[in-house]
Amino acid sequence: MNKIKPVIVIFLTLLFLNACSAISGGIGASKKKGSDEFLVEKKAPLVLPPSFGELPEPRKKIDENIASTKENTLSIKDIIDQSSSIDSDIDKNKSNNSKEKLIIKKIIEQ
Amino acid sequence: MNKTRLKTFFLNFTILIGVFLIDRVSKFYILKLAEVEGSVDIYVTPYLNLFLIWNKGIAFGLLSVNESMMYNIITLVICLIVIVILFMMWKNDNIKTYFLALVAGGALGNLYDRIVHTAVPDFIDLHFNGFHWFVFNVADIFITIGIFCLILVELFYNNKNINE
Repeated sequence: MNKIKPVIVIFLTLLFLNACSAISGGIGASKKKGSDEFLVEKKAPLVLPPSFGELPEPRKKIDENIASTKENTLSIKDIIDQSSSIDSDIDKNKSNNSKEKLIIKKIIEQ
Repeated sequence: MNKTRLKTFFLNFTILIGVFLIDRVSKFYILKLAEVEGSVDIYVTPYLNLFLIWNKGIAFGLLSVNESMMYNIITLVICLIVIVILFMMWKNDNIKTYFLALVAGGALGNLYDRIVHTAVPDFIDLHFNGFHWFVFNVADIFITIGIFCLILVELFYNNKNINE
């Protein structure tokens, strides 16, 4: 009996100092404390947003968009004017661009 | 303190530090691997894998709870046990001290992880025919050897002294 007591104490020391663990804990056999995928949640009833009546009419919005794009884009006439003025500066002394000028003139007339 | 006692003390201290360093190097290597690859699951031999898991409890995964209060109590108990072992190392002057140094070195290695990482990394997974033994670390090996030798000494060495 005298021998058993210290052996038990030593064995208890082993229990506390040793840090081995079951592999199941690492692999994932233990129950996870995550969200429950089978939990049925109550959905809130559908309600209209408070500013629903203030929304603009769809047609009006489209018209506004078209108007704004028109403002942003340059007209064909402006582009041709610009290009013709540049051409005239560069080819002031040249006469071989008469065909181009003729085409541009026709486009303008149309 | 006479010369023999001083020599024993330095030898014990060397054993303790040696065990602690071996444990630390092994854990450092495994934790680095885990940091690089995300997890550690390495096949070494048909009977040995390196598989990293963290233990917050004591031996065999006992008392592994997420409550910090329980964890702190266990850590405090381990601290007290280590202090007692160091005291016994200091007081005794026989073969027991070497085994106590083995146990103390391993215990300090695990205690370091409990304080720094708030869990002990275990990574040596021995298995045979699908049966896996508890995953352990290098410190556990030294603690188990030390404790086993202490039990043997307690059972046979003291008995021999009494008979003489």
